[in-house]
Amino acid sequence: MCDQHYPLTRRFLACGIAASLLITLGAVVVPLRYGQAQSDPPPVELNEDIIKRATVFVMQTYETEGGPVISCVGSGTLVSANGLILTNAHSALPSDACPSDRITIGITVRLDEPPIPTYTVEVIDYSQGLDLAVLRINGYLDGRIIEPGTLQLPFVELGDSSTVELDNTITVIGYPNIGNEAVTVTRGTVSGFTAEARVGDRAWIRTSATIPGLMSGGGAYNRDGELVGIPTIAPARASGEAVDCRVIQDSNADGRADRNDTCVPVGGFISALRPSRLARGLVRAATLGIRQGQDLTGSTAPLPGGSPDFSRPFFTTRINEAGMPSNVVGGIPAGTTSLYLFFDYDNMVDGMIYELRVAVDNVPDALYSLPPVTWSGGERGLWYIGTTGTPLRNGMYDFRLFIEGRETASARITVGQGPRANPGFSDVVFGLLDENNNLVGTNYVLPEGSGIQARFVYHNMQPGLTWSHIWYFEGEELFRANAPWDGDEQGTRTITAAADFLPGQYRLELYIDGGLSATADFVIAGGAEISRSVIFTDFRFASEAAGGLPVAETVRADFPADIAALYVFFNWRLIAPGTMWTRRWSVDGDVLFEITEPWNAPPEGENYLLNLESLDTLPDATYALEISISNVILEMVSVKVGLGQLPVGAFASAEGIQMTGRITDAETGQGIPGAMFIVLKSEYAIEDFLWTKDQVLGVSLADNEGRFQIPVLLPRGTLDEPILYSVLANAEGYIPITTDGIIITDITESPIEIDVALSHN
Amino acid sequence: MSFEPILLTPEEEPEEIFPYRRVWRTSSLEVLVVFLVVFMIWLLTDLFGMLPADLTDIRAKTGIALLPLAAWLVFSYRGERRALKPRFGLIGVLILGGLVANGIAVPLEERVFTPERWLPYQGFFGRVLGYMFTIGFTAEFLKYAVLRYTVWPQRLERRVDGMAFAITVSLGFAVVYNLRFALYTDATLLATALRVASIMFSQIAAGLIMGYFLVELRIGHPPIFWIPAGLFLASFISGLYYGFRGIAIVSGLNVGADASSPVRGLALALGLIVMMYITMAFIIESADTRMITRTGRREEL
Amino acid sequence: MSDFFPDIHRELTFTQRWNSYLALVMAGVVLFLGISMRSSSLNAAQVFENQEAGIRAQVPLNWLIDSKSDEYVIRAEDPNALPFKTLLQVSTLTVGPDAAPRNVLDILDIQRASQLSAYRVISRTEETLRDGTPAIRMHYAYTQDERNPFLESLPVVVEGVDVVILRRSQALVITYREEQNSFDDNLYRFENLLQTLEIF
Repeated sequence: MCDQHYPLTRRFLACGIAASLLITLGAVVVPLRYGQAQSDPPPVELNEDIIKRATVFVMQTYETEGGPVISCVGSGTLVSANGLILTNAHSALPSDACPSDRITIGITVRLDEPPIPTYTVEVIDYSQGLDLAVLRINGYLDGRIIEPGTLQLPFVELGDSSTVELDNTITVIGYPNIGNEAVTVTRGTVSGFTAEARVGDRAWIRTSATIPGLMSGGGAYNRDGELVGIPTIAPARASGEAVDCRVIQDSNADGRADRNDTCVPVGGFISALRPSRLARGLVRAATLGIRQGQDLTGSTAPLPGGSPDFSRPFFTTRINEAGMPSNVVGGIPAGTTSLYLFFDYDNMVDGMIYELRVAVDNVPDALYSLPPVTWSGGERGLWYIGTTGTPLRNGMYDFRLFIEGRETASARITVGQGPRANPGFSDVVFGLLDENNNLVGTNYVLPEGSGIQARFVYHNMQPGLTWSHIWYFEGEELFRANAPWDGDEQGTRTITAAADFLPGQYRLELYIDGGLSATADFVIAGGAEISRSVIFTDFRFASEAAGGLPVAETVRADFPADIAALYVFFNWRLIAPGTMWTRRWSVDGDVLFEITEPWNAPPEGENYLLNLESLDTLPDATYALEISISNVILEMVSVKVGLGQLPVGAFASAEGIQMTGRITDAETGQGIPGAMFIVLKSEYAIEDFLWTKDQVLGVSLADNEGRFQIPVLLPRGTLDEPILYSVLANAEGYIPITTDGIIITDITESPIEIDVALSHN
Repeated sequence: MSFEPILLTPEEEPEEIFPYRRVWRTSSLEVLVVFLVVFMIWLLTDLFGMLPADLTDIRAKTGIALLPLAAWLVFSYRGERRALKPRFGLIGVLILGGLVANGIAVPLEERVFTPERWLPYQGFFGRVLGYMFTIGFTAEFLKYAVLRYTVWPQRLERRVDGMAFAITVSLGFAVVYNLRFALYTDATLLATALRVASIMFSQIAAGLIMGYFLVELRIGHPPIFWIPAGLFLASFISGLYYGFRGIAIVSGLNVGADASSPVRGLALALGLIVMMYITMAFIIESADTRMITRTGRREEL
Repeated sequence: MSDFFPDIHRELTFTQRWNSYLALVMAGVVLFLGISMRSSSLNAAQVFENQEAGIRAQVPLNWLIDSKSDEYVIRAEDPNALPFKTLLQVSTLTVGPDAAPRNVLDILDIQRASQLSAYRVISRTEETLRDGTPAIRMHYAYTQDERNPFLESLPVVVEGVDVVILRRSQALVITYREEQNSFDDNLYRFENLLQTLEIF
């Protein structure tokens, strides 16, 4: 077209050049206008993906000549970024049904695939009675150590389980199978609460969700994605009832995988959740790196010799602050919303399995029952199980108690009786009479001496009714009296026993016409100080101890930072062996440890030693020790370490945005393995970046498919004050990409996905 | 008595057959064919989804890499063989261009210049200059050397001969680069096709400049800095192209969406070669017109 | 062959001859410029100084620098390197007065064996640095895998070099790590670091 037969015109040339310029520039200008980073937040969604990734698969294994054998499995939840896991104690501790010398954790890498064994863990702390344990990831499967603080894993925060209400939606996440299925979500509602002694009215959250047994140890979440409950099933027993069990390995190396091999217990369903507040102390202690030292003063209690037993079951509708029944009822009117079954127990061991089965008009009712759970009440005492908040329907209620599958006690009550004017006693309290014959120091812990009085309320009493009071000391009858009623129809009365009240455990029972009408326990310990019982005295804190005594130079009222341990010494007097006492350690007002156990030291002595230890140094905080008996706080002492306050950010929040995405080659669309994605701290823009790590919030390298995931959560801003993040993507041979425009507000949904296409040059 | 027909109209003079291959026409056809094939692959892959997006069949990729060569053989070389005055030496130049590319340009790039380690991290003008002084200049100098020490000056009798040989040697370079991309990377068929077209168009666009400067050195009366100026201009154009290409393909990142469009790289290369063809055609036509005015002919014998 | 490439022995004009010469000269000049650009870009460095540790050295420019950790004085990583981020590091280890450099290497070996997968020592050689300081060099290898369990990356074989220098009650450990295929190509960076290292 351009040779001599086709001369070009200038107009054609101009048009041609203009057209080609348009094509060329358009290829460049269009992306400059529309290729900028868009920062509109994606639509809001639930944070289920992060919770699923924070849910782990727990496997107990033991070594054999043929290699490791899986004995038991369960679920767990990551509760800190550096690898703390909350699960059931029975999933972590070896037992006859679950022998183990190693615990392996499986992680969900792809949400639609089963977990992949990735880490090993160590047990940091546990409560066998509550069946809760905190584990920490400490290594890879090949034995390499993971230093504390080097992991950045997704985790969930413990929510306030006391805010859970009836009919709230509960989302339960865990692994329903022996590792063959992906992490599973099941939903239900809160159907009620079960009360238990020492814990209170919300010892268990009951749910209508269908939760497979292997999801035990996983998490139950409220609508805000906070962990409010831990699904808990009773541990399997090698000698107990046959449970559904799967043989998956030839554990005895005989060439066959059959019933002679170890089988992994599966099956069962969970209807009860342990409230997360019961795990808060364990988790916080593990997060702070604090643990209780051994009790060196008290001796180890011998294992009970007799057969575990429950006895003397009775019902009450009210419990006072000391955990004592306010009354004893034989029938209750319709519409009653609380009912407790009290019973004595003996020869029990924490970790034993007990169960309450309730039938209404001979039809089993799961709501009022308590499925098999672990015992946490110690060897002997008075216990209760109850239901609150749900109106009881009319009917005949049969309560049957089981220990390790064996029925040991039963009781019956009728609900639906009309209002009655039965005579009765209630609200028994104990104290001393002052010079004006007033009862003072009303309590359930009283000092040694004579003159212990009991006061109770009576109603609908008629002259001539035969009533009696029986006093017991350490389970043996101490004193008894009975007489016809000679008082008014209602009021209060004070009685005493003609006996010397020595230190120990006492009980008073009040009967009307041979029927138990009221009962209460109390403890005599310590000497009198005005009307108060003084048992523990002379508290001293030290940072070092030697030979069971404080190192004198280290005894202080306040301590500097960086001490490795904290010791407390105190003297005691007039406390009988076997008296149940409770010690409670708090840090900045939050309870970390609470132990209730029988007194195992001599009745009096000096320098009882308790201590807290740390893996490194104790964090700055105010440490408090509280000692109580029968829920009565007797002494509380505290001491400051360092600044006397935990540092800000001691407990990392799970709140924030997860930033993830993919880095690809702009031409081929394929991922760039090893490409680096950097997020700067919000105070730095790209132009401020000097390639120093302290300006960087998080870094991730792309994997085989170009996927990356920033390991730290990005703090949110608000709609009025959004936070802008600057990001960079680099890879060798590609033009780097930077942008200052990632906006995060409080409505930005997590995770935020970013796709980066790098141009190869 | 003879009865010869009486002609009432003058005899028609016999039509003069153009003796040379029409370079612009045939090379435009090659560009069009390659562009259409690549565009079709893009349509079938990205828009209609009839071809898998992750297709990496090596035979298909090799076929695409050799498409420019096939188009040249069909349009240019066959046209050349059919012309009354064919140009000789095209195959030699093609092969030599490929050998030089594979034997000198590629090793220099991979072992000496190593552009992937430093070039992408310069700013825009740093990238342009960096490319220009390394890979761009090397390629243009080698093309110049191939033509200068083989077919120059005898084969370059007309200005359009320079275009023909420049296109051929550039094609030799492009075939080597394309085959290496197809055989030694995991790119998909679409990515390979887009890259093949981009390389072909950009190599030819820059090569045209060297071809013009060489033929002008033979036919015209240029100054002594003529070839260095041509080398500078050709490598600058190729550097500029690669600088803009990075922007054209991608210019940022997106939250939740794909920011890249390799098709824009193709559009840029197409725009470049169309602009170069039109520009060079205009320049050659103007120069030929002046030459005809001065000497009465277009060629230098 | 003469059909393809005609006789080139034709008399050139002055202009034509000098164009050829200048083209060759230009090639040399431009090649030099290009290589200079490359070298200055790749070898651009910045000075790092830590008064407390008594160390001054040059590290590559635009590498990601971390100098706030307790484990090392400075760590520099190449953010662009694939698939392993080339690493240069200077760290210190408190040692007793009777410790020898080989003791330090033993400590490092034991630590690393528990932290790095497939860790293997390849060689240990004694050497003298340019300023006459005696040192010991250890060459080792291991596989680097992705710490984030939610990403799927293939392990990378990494080679490393440690040069240990004893000074007073401290051992200075200068480390270089790179993916095995690029180890030799980037070794010069480590040698630059050693040569520019000043201990005061």
